[in-house]
Amino acid sequence: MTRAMSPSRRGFLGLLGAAGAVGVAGLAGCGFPRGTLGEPLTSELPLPRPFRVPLPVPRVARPVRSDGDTDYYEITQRESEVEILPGVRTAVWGYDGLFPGPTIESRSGRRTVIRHRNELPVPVAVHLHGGHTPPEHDGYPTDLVLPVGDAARSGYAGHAGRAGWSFHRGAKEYAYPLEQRAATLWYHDHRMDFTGPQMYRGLAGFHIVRDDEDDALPLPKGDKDIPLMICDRAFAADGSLRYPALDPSLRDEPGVRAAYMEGVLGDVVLVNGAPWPVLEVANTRYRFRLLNASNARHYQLALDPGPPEGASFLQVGSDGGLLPAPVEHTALRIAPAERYDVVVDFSGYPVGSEINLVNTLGSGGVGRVMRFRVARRERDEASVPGRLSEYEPLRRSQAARVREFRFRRGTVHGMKGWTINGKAFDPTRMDARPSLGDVEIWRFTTDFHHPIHLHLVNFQVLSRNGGGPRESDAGWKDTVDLEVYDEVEVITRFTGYRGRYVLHCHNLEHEDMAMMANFETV
Amino acid sequence: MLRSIITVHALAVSVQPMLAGQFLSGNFDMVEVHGVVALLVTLLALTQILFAVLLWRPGRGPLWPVGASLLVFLAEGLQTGVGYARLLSLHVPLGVAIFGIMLLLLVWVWRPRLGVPPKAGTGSTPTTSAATR
Ligand SMILES: [Cu+2]
Repeated sequence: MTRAMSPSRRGFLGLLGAAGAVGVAGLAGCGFPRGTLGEPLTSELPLPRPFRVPLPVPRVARPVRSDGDTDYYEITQRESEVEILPGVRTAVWGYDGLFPGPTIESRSGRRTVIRHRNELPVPVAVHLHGGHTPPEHDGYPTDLVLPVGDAARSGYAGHAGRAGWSFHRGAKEYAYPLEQRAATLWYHDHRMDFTGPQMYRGLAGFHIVRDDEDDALPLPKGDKDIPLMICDRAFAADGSLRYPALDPSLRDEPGVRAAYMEGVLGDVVLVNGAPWPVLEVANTRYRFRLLNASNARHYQLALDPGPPEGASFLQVGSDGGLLPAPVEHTALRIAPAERYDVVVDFSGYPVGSEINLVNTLGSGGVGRVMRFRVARRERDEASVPGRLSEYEPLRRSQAARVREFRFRRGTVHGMKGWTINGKAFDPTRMDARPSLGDVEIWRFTTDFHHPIHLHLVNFQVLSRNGGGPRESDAGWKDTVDLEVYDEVEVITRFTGYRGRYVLHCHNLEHEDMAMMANFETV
Repeated sequence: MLRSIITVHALAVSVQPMLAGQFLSGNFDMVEVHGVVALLVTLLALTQILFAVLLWRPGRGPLWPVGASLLVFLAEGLQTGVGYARLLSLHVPLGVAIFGIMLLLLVWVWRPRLGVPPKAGTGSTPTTSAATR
């Protein structure tokens, strides 16, 4: 190779080098399109044009009665036909037939009792996500409310007598003490093996807890405090919601077709149940309570165009309520079940501006979420103070013990599934017994994207892969987003109630395929 | 023959980041394919060493491809271990390095021998022609 190269050869090598460089860049690019995180389903109907329908805001439920310390609600879970895509009828399973369900608003420390009547053709369990709730009211996956007048059906009645299962005929009263801070909670179905399809059909709603501390802050209020439930769906040719269930009746055989075990993704993004809606806003601040209620899809939310000054999102709260101080984000990554309470300031946009809320992890339809249209000028009464709240940061030295939970692909009843510490979920096996009052560190490791959720308690994120937490990990959380081969430590103090609870992956297809474990507070 | 092996080997190596990308973006099964291809890549590396040696002796070719092939083989062995140990911070740069060496070898085996009369192919580069074709 000592020969001088001929010009043409040098040219050829240069070309090859350039091609190689492009190739490497392209391949490196291939490594990071974290856009899907699941298996996409395609709608069999023409999709509507985005930004045509107004954003619905779920109605706030009225208590049927109240006494000195409790508000009582009644919700009937039933099937109904709604118009999600313009001109198309879609059957949903809804709380009071609504998707999303009615919003429950509670005061911190005031008991809320909700009687759920089940007029659906399948058993249900209702979990208040983020609630500090006694175990018998937590919606344990095998503590089921059977359909009204249909309690003897085989399939699930066959579970009767099996250890760890319990049944309520037709209805159940869920009582929530709500001795917890103001926060954006949500309620949704949690039936063993069928949470994914049942939530997908519409069983989810907001439950907002308010308190004096949050009320006293000058944050946007009233019609400028808006919950946004973001989820993706696909539609079948007949207008129904398309889901790859093995048993479309959702009665007997759980699970989805093998290709979808990573998680089911739709091609239509709904906000509060409407496809790519529009909200007309004044040129002032708004408080948006963002919830990712998707089965599997992650979003990275951003404003397009971003505001001329300042960050797009000023985060004031997380899963478990107010942060100590606001945190600025230009983009916000949100995993299934996470909530981000953000203030968006539209004052930098001229009246008439159209600002899209986009998902930079997606392209095409799933790259869009909704649109804001600045429709009028108004004086802004709201502001975001530099101090929001105070709470005790938990320190490593307080921890009585460290527990490990490994979230992995594994074998579940002889088939491919998802496991924790190598085991499939079993309602009769206790995987951890923390003592009430103790601080513990729980260390999670993953082989894939798994948003991990603990019932009963909120936690603080202590570390990520040996380093500090992300900015978006701030505050009290009940769901933490882990990516491929991540290691995250969370720290919490177990308080409140003795009994059996679950922790699980909130990718619902993973959850239904056994990625769940028990802990019992003692 | 060495040319074919290096070509297939380089192709297999270049498929790896694509499979990893599909895994990261949500297709879990691709990580299993990634593992199978890794095994294939290592076998190809072994074969490549064999033919690089043959090119050198009895082929009277240069010695450096033997060294380069050995280096790639060792790097790939390490890469597989690092991959199964999930050390992504090492796995990605090592992968880029392996891809780089394979690209160089690929350029070398496919370089047009311009300036050499086609019929006199055994003239200025007598050693490579027999074994690489
Ligand atoms: Cu998961």
